[in-house]
Amino acid sequence: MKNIFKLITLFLAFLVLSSTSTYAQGKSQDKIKGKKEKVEKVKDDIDEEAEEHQEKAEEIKEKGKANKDKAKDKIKGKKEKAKKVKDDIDEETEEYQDKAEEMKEKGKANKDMAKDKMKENKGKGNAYGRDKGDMSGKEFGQQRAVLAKEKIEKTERSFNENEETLRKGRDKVKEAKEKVEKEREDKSVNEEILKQKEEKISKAEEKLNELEEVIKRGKEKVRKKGEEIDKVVKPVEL
Amino acid sequence: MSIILIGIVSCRDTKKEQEELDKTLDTIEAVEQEIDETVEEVEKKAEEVESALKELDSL
Repeated sequence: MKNIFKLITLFLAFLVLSSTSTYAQGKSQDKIKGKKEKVEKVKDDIDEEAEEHQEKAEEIKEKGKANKDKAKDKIKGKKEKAKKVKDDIDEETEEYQDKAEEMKEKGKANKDMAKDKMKENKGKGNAYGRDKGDMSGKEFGQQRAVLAKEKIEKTERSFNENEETLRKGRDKVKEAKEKVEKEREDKSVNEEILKQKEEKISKAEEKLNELEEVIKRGKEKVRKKGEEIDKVVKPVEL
Repeated sequence: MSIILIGIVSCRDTKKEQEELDKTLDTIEAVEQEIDETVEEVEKKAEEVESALKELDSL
């Protein structure tokens, strides 16, 4: 009896153990299955995310390309605009140049015409003429002499202005000479270039000397002509 | 008779006056012409000077 009891106990114990083991085994399998599902889900999520990122990357790439094309078009447009502006300016410049040439020609023609007219008037009293109107001969002569004297005074004033140019020119030449001299001493400039500079200075000096001579002669001439006018014109008898 | 004499004298005076005026005007015009030529010569030379001086600016 005792043995039977032991056997039953043993059998029960075995039964409990085996059921527990089966349960545990089933549970473990469920766990693995759950983990597998979880892994699958994570994998799917990652794939989905990767796909999403790739799509976004594609989108950005497309957008970049579009922007690049847009920028290219913009640059092209600007280049075309700039070319058009340049062409317009060139055209306008050409037009102005033509106009300037035309005006120059016209000016020259007018000058020539004025010269011809002056030549024509020579001996007829220049710009003032010989028509004395209501004036007497003496009065008219007096008036013409006054105008001639005014012209002489104006000429003398212009000589003074030219003398000022002469003085300034001399100063400039002096400064240029000093500069060249200093450059020669410093050896900062090539000797050949210094000679070229000296040639320019000499030329300017020569021209200044010529101007001085012309002014001197002109002044003397104008002085004598003034005296001639004074001799010719007698005071008007009142 | 006296009127004729006055007329003759007057005409002579007018002719003389005109001759004197012409002489005066000839002199004045010759002077003016010479002055114009002188001024032109001086101005031309002054332009040459200015051009030569401009060359010195680049030294």
